[in-house]
Amino acid sequence: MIFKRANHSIELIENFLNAVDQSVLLFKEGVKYYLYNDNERFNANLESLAKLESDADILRREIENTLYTQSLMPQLRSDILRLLEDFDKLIDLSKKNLFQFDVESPNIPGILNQDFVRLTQVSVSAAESVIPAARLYFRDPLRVKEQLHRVYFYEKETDLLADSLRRKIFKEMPELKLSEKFHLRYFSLHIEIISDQAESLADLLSIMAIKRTV
Amino acid sequence: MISAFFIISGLFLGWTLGVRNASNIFGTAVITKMVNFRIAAIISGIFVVIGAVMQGSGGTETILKLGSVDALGGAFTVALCSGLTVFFLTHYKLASSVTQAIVGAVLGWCVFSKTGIDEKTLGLIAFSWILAPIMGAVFAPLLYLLMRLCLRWSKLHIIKLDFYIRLTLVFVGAFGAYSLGANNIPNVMAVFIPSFPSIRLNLGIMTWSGTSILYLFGGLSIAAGIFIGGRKAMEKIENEIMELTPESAIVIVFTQALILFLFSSVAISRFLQSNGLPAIPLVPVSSFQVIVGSILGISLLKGVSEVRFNLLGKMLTGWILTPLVAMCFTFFSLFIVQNVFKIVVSNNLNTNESNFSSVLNKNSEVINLPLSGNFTLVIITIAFMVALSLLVYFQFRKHQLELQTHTEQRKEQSQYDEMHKALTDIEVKTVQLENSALASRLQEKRNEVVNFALSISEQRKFLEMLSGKIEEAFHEEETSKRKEVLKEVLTSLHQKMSFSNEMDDLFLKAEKVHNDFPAKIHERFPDLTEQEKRLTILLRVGFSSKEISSIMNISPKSVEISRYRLRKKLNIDNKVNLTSFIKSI
Repeated sequence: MIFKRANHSIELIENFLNAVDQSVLLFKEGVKYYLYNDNERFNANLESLAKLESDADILRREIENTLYTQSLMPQLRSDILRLLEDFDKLIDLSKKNLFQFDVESPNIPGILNQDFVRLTQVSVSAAESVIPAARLYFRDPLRVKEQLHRVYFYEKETDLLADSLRRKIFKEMPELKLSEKFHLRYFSLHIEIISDQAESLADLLSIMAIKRTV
Repeated sequence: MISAFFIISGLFLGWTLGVRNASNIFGTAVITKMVNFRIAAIISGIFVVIGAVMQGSGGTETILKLGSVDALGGAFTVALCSGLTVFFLTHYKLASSVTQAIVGAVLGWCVFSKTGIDEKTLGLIAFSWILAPIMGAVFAPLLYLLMRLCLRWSKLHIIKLDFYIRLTLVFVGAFGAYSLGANNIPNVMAVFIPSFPSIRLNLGIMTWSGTSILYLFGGLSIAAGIFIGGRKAMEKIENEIMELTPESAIVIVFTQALILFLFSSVAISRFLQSNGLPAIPLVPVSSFQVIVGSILGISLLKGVSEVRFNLLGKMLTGWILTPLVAMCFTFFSLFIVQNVFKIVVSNNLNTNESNFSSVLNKNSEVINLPLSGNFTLVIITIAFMVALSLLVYFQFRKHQLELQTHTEQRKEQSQYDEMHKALTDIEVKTVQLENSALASRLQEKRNEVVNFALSISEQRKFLEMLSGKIEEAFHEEETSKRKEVLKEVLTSLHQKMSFSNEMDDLFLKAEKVHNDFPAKIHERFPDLTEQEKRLTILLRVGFSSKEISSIMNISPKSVEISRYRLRKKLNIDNKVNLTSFIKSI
């Protein structure tokens, strides 16, 4: 009975992390579809992401309830719940930012498509790398650090790409209006923020792993 | 019945032992909320009693060898004094242990009853007290390493690990409670065994001897101590020795249980002897000191910075202070019990004259021969003085520490008050500044309203005048007169346009911005007309000729002419720019 409960809690956490993984993938694909005007697929991704976000919220609440009602891991509980909340923010950001593409429909010149795709891929890679680190935290905290260096690498790379993209928009594209440049800058920030969130998650995981190994 | 009354002090000692050791068994588990206190207390209670009844005889023999208290009154006093010693030392936040207290108290009884001290047994006990923490310091790091390896190898999910940790804490806690009962029950009940009536209680399935009944009651008193005072003791100890992770707690409690078990197991001792190995002495040892040894061992494994040296100090004080205080306290208590309450405390003494003077006389008699009695008395007095001095010193130190803490608190409070006052002053000043700014803005607005009202009234008068003139022109039949009236109207309109209030306001504002500029101009160039003065202000503000023409309602050419005249009046060289010159004034 107790084992069954423990297995159920483990399954909930795994499902939640899967949801995070899927959400960043949907975001990455969604941006690509938007850039290459595949509206049908873009809308499908948007819908899936919205559903995933709502499912993840339900999962997170269920995990919270389980951890508290079954008094699991009293010493680590608050840290773990904070980690899950921060992961939930990652899903929220993915959904919110993809919705911004839908609502504001930024006019992205075709010449910038490759830059935006690359920026999205690298930013999402940071998020994708933090998920295995979180899985490792639950089973093998000593190996968390091995995984986290990838997150920091991708985050730095995202910063560089985003800076170079913004420089290109403002300095090399006089044909764009200032308002359009501002608009594009905001969208580069929307994409960049995914890697920033991954970095803050990596920081949290790093401390949590230290706490577990001391 | 009388026997039952006398063992009350033993039960009190058992209760004290339970309260003090509850946190050593389940402290971390309960504080970290891994195990519920009620479950912890029930498990501890049950296993303490089982340990006491099943394996309590091991250490009893050693205590009895040290001193066989042969009168119930003496046993009562010895147990009571041990309990009170631990109680008071704990109250004054000094390290103490029931194990050391009972040994001290038995020594006190031996000295008082002149039965002599078995030096070999005393040496064995002292050796065990040192050996037990050392064993803890060796076993605990080894077990810690083993556990760490197992955890790394197993790669269990944190939730499953949590479950296993809980389970292990319960098992280890139960083992700890069993060992505590087995090893420490002699501390509580051994002194009563020689004088307790030799009875046998037949319960059908088993027969209970007097010793077993004593162990059972002793175990129950320890369990009661855990139930009643355990929770408070666990909370109190939170920031002291048992502030550990559940994983470390498993190792430490297990080490403690193992060592206590080894020091009380007759079977293991015999097994070692039969194999030609040195037997582990069957001596009650302090679980606190084993824990201190274990923690220090793990700390050393982690690094020197982790070592909590204050624990070593506590352990040393426990070794020296507790037996000394208990011994002196028991000696004087036995004297009072025997002479004031007329209760037999030793059958050995009962045959002699049993009062303090007789003890002294006896000693003085012995002075001429073996010198040992007088020497013992001197030792006792010195020990008492040392113990008393230590108590006074610690009390004084505690008082000083309290005073120091109070002073620091007061300092912090006064600093906080000063900061708060400074903050309030800043806030008051800010509010005052805001108020004055608001007052000036209010005044400005008032002026604006008054000016606006005056302007409306003036405009009204002007419009009435215009309307009258136009009406006059309308009724005038003569063309020349009508033209004349209309010309007058036009002139009035031009004049109005030139000297409107808005213009005045503009100049006023420009004057405000450029503070004392009008005064300077008036002082240096008194010949300038009003019109020229206004031109200088507009030039200083930075208006162009075109803008000035519009503001002054004159043609741009007229502005140029005015500028030319102004240059002449200001006596400026042709090469100098007029605006720059005005700005430099």
